[in-house]
Amino acid sequence: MVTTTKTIAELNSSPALLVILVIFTMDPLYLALSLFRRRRYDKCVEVCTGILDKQPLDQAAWCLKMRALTQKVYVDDLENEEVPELDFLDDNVLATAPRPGTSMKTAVVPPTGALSARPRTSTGRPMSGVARLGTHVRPESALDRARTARPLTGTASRTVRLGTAAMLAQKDGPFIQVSRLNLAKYADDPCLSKPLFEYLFFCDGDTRAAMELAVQATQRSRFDDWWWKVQLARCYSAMNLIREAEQQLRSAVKQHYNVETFVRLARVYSRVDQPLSAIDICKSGLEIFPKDVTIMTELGRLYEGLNDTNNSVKYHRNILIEDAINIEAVASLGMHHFYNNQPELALKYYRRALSIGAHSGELYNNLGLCCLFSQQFDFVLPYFQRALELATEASAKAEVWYNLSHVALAAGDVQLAVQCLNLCLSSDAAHAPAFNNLAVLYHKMGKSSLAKAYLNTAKSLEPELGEVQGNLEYLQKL
Amino acid sequence: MFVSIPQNKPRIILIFVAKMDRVVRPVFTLELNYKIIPGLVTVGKYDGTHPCITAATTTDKVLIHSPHRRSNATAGRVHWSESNKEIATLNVNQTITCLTVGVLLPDEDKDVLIIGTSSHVLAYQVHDNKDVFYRECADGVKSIAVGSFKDLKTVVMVGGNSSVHGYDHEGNEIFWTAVGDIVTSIIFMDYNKDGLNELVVSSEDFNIRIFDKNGLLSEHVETEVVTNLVALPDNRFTYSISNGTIGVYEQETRLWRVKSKHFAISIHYYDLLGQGAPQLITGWSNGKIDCRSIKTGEVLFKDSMNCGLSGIVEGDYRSIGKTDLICVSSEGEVRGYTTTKSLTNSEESGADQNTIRELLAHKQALLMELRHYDTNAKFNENLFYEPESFENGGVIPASTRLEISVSTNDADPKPHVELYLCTNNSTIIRAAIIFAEGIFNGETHVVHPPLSQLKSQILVPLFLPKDSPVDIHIKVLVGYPNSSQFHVFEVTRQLPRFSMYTLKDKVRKTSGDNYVQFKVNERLQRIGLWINQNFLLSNEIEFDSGVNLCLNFKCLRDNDDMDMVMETTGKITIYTSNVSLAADLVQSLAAYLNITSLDSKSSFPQEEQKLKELLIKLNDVQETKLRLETDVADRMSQIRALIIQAEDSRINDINSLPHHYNELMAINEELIGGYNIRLKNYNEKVDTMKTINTIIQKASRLRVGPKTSNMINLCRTCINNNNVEGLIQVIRNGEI
Repeated sequence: MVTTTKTIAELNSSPALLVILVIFTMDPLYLALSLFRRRRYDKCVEVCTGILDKQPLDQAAWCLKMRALTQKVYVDDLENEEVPELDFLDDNVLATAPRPGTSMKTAVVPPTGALSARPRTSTGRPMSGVARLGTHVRPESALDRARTARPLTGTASRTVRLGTAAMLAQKDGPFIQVSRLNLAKYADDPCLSKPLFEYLFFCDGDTRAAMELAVQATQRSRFDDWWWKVQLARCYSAMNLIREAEQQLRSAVKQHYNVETFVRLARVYSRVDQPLSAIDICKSGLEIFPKDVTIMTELGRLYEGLNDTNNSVKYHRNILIEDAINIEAVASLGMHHFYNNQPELALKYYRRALSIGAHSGELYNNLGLCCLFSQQFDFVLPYFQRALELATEASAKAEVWYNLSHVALAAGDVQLAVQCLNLCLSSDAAHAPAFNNLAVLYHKMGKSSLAKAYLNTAKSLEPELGEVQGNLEYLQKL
Repeated sequence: MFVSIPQNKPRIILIFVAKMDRVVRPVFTLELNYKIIPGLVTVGKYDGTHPCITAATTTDKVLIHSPHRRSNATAGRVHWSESNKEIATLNVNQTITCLTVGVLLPDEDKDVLIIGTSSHVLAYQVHDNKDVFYRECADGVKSIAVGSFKDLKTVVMVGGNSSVHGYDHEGNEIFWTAVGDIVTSIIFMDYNKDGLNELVVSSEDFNIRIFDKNGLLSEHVETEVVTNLVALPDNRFTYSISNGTIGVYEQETRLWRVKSKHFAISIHYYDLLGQGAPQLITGWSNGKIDCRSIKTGEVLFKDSMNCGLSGIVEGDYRSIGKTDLICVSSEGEVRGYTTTKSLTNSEESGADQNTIRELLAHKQALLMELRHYDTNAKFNENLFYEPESFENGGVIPASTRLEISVSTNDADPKPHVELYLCTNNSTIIRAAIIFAEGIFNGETHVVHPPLSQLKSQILVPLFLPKDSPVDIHIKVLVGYPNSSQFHVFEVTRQLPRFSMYTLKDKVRKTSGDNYVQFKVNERLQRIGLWINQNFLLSNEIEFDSGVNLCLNFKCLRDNDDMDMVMETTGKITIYTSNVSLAADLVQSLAAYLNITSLDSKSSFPQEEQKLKELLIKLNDVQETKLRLETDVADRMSQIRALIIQAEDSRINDINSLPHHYNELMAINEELIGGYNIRLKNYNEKVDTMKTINTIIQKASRLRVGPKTSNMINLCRTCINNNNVEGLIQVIRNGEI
């Protein structure tokens, strides 16, 4: 933005008296820049539109408007990347039956005990400290999922989301007519091409056009600009051309070390279900950027996915040393201690999360559970009360009721436990553990046939739940 | 002159075989229940100890059979059903063209699986589910070998449509050379017994080329496409040809070869019969498995599977510490054989058998000869009285000789090499059977004039398609027109390498801008000898004195001129527009004069122009390719969105369902159209690269020794940097 610096220079050289006048009729571009810096993007866009109405060919204003629009809808797509298995129609995963421990699908399952091991989520994934995209996805064949009507593909849902964001930003027609754009011309201009790319990718949601721009820009830069390579990889992985993305990232890493490149490369390997390769990449990244939180988070997650608790906890601890308010690490450690029979320690971590500012039903629920198991009974019910107040989603509510049933059981009130479980089922009719627990309670009350019916329901909902299987066998023997 | 009738050997061998057949039985059999692509079977120790059969299935998947997997397989969501508990598959999603395993990573003893597809090569660690490298091979992947070469410890050699690339364990290109045609097979072996590996490459232009660290070391020409090469112990290697021939080479000499009407799919060596030294095991397309002696090609054992063979490998599949021979059929049947112990002590009896057989054969031959002498003696007695019966009986005068001469004939509208056969008396030639490799369709040519035109002489035109020395074996049936029995004369002649070039009568001034020029330190007399040996000249050329020797040749194939100017200073210039002819001449001369290093200057403006155009075209094609690929990806995402919409409307709004599906159909059609365009683009690219590589390869053959590899490396650098002018410079001068 060459023009900007010029404006500022003029301002500085003008006499002091005139300044008041200038503020009165401040240079609109300067105003827009200032607004942009203060993150008042809407205003900034308005001012830029004003400039462009007068001078449609003002590149500085055009560029600034693009930047402002992009910033408005910018998402950290590294954090929000969709999960690998979501894509049907493509079999990017190489091995269909890899050796246990070398794939997310075949992570070694530790022997289950009461509290000694983490339960798996309803999707068969290891439980994680925080809910992320992907922690709730079933690692099963794509065809099974295709039966349901929920969104199937990462690509489609992402583009839809970005597309709507773009529409919100523009009232009277699109700002840039992508189809009329001469991409080759803009690819030549290093100052304009990068903002234009981001605008196309984030704001317009037009991955295709963004990619064409990136392809041409890399060619213009004689293939030695790592930034473009990373952007190309971003487009490729959005289009599900994973192997192409891998190639671009690999060559980008050779040119320039960047945390983002390493993490993206690891993601590529996660998508082809080669977690060990991903871990290798992260570790080599960590050698170059020692103690980098982003890479360590990625490592922690990968180990978590592989059920390697020790390593996962190690990295989460390291993250906390570097970044004491990292909620994900705090929550993961809390959960680790909870399932490691140390509810008092877990309580400390969760309280820390609370003091950092996390305020959610799930957190209160966990605090309640920790209090219950660390014998601080006076806090249990108040926490759960809070949790119930804050849990708005049906599934969250169901979980809280399910946990409350444990409180009731701890108090020895079977009737209350049954009631809690029924309430849980009223919120989430597909809660298999609740069905299982109900069955056990009914069996204790002597209603064996009812118990069997409940167990069968639980089994049909979640066939691989070990407890259900065991209970059914037990009942069969009677 | 009598020719003994072929000895009755085969029948005796058959008896021998029948005896063997009883002895060797499979030690294990199992069914994979997958259809296997012939030739794509290998065995790898992915965990460093246990072998796993690895094969490509017809559905573009790689199957790994691991019977030694520990039974903790119930983890996670993966289901190991009873039927295929031991089988895991890998999705490749591209047409698999070859499968190889090899220890690739330094400091590791685990095998790495290397999968070649039509456009990519993937090295994959099966045990850890990790990629070692994955990279695009623009030239396609037709064959892969892993081994050590030059000073490189382990290198993955990938043969493509017209070149061989070598990659290290990180996927970096560390070797490149141009090969004239599609590479069909690559092996590493010590060819010349120098303790170092040579690279042996077979390609679709019927050639087997051997490269050492300096470049091309030797070349064998076969009659058809060589499909497979396998290194054998004792510096030998075996090959199979698409017309059903298999054979064994030891350095330059071919030990033996046999032809079958089926094709050899897979060849392996293994000591099946316990002889202390391995035998050659061949799997054929009709399911036959035979075991031959490596030295002689004699069949020692035969077995047959229900359907065509897919591959023969070797591995310790029973965990007994000794490898078994494993045969995999195309229907997924697996049979394992092992060394037969009972046969180890039967070696002496085998030797006895051999002696008896030889003696029997000898006896038969002698008996036959005796019988002939008897009949002959009888005829000679009657000669005086019954000349008529003499003719009918098929006996010819003892003084009958067959004359043979080979010359060039350029007077004919279709110029050719002429084979002239004639007898020295009134006997006639009933038929001539000419056996030669690579001249005719098939290997033999029979000339049999109609009865009315039988003469004592016969002219056979020969059209040699290639410039290579050919041995022609001629069998001539000589007798009288009424004879019922004929006498067979066997003659062998070698045609010189450049038979299809004839010397022009008129000496004219030689010039032209298509030439190759080099300098040798030899007397012109020796070069004259080379010419006499390698050309079919009516009069031998002799160089007495003068400044230079000028020869004008004409090609019998297309009437093109080829002129050679040899100066007393040793400077030789060959004027021809045909680069490969020039290259052949240079190579032949260098071999004759024992020159190990020769540099040359060349100028072939038409080829250079062609090269320029091709390189520009290649650039265009590559750009288009990128655009087409994104097109497909874009359409794929549209399809995904549409399927979701269609599924949604199935539940919410059934009326718009057809609308979505119609749209889906339209996109699908577009995709198919796009595919066809991409296919065309791809073929164009492959053709262009092939032509470029062929030009480079020909140009490299204008030099000899280290200059060749140096020039090829320079060419590669120029192509990678898109330096057209540099490339042409390299081709002209051998250096930038």
